[in-house]
Amino acid sequence: MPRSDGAAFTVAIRKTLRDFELRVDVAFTSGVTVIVGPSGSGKTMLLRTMAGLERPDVGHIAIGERLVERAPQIHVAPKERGVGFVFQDYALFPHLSVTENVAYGLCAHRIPKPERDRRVAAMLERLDIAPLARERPRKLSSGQRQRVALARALVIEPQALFLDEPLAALDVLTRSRVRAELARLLTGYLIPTLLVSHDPADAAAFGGRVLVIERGTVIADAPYSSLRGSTQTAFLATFSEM
Amino acid sequence: MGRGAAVFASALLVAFIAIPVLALALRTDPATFVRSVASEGARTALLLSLVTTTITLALALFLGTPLAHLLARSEFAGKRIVDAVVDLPIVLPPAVAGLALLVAFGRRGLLGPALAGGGIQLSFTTTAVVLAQLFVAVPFYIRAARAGFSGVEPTLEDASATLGYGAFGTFVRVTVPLALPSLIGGAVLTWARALGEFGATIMFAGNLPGVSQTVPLAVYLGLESGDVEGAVALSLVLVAVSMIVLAIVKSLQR
Repeated sequence: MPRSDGAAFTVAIRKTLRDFELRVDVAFTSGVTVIVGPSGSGKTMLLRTMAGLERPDVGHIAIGERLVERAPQIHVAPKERGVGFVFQDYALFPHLSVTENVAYGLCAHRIPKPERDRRVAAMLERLDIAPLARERPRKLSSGQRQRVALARALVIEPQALFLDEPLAALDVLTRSRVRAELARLLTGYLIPTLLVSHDPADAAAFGGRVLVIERGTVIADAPYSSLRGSTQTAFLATFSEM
Repeated sequence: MGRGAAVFASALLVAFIAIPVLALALRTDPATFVRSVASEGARTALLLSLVTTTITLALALFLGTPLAHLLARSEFAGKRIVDAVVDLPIVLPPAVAGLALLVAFGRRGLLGPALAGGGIQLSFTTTAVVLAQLFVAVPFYIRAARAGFSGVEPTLEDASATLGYGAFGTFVRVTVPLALPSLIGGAVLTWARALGEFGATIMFAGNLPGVSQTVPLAVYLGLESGDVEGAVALSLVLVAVSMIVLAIVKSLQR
């Protein structure tokens, strides 16, 4: 069942990238936040840093009361952070079946087999992928892969859920359908949910809070509805065109 | 070039390689072959080859796997130098490798006195056989393993990390299974190269039956001492093993 501990994810970091500096100081509470910005603006780097896959130059990151990063002294490894991460292209393990992919995180956390089987089965059911249980990822469509990746990330009951361009791998015809399904599914999870996209249309579909990042800097942080009409930058202006 | 000429050149070259191997088989008959292979000297050489190449392979896997992973995944100062050093034995003539090992680890070599101080003598021992094999053969494993590790998507390792495994758990559960065909291919090639090792072994370990006389050295000694039947029989064993190795490597490449 969805968790509702509602711990906020706070992040105040700086990290030098190739062309610019990523500077972010925000808190994410339960619910979906869409992080949008042009390609190469540091969105993915922000997610990776929050998940512990990259280290910031300076700053701190906390999940609820728990400090997971105070650069450079404290760095809690990704495996200890409890972040569910859906990667771009989904990063499913090609040598494992759908069931084994979804069970992977439960094995890592040494969940006993009976409970593991029960939770995996329930999650496959919930995401309508139970018939694919024995398939290998290469046999699946992009939309099916996305669900498996989502199931794999959610089954560990994460403290937060990160989705990096979850719709980019889909063709135009399936994208709007999958987007609607994803929006419906994610509203059931009362954890900080960060969805990165370069497409303002995704911000529209998820409706809630939108964080706009350009060249490593947050240039807008507001509900979707109030972003329409902004003309501060060319990218922001595209919100009004939709 | 015309098609006819190409076919002729190809046929010539294939025949050139196949005929000597075939000649080996035609040189003996089943009874002589069995008698020669079962002889005391041949059995001693076969056993020594089996033992030394197994140890060499184990060392190559144990020491070569971390190095290959480092070369595939990390950037560090001097990486190009490490890379060149590791590849060097592939192009170095084996006799030169043997001499180099001797002047480094031999009794009067660079490190000889230091080793002798610790009561260790390497040259002309079975240990020397293993070291000579490792020197010439380990690059094949490192190269293959490195290519295998490089082929594993880093985001798969990231996914494993976010799902709860540390570096070692991820390596065992994701990286190794996905690189496995390359690892096995490299291991087989390394073992085959160690089995065929001759030049470096005879320079560094000598040709002592039961101590350093592996199968290739026994073939050489057999020919020298007039036991052509014995040399042919042992050679045929190596031919058979080589064909099996080739079959394994080919099946992994598919």
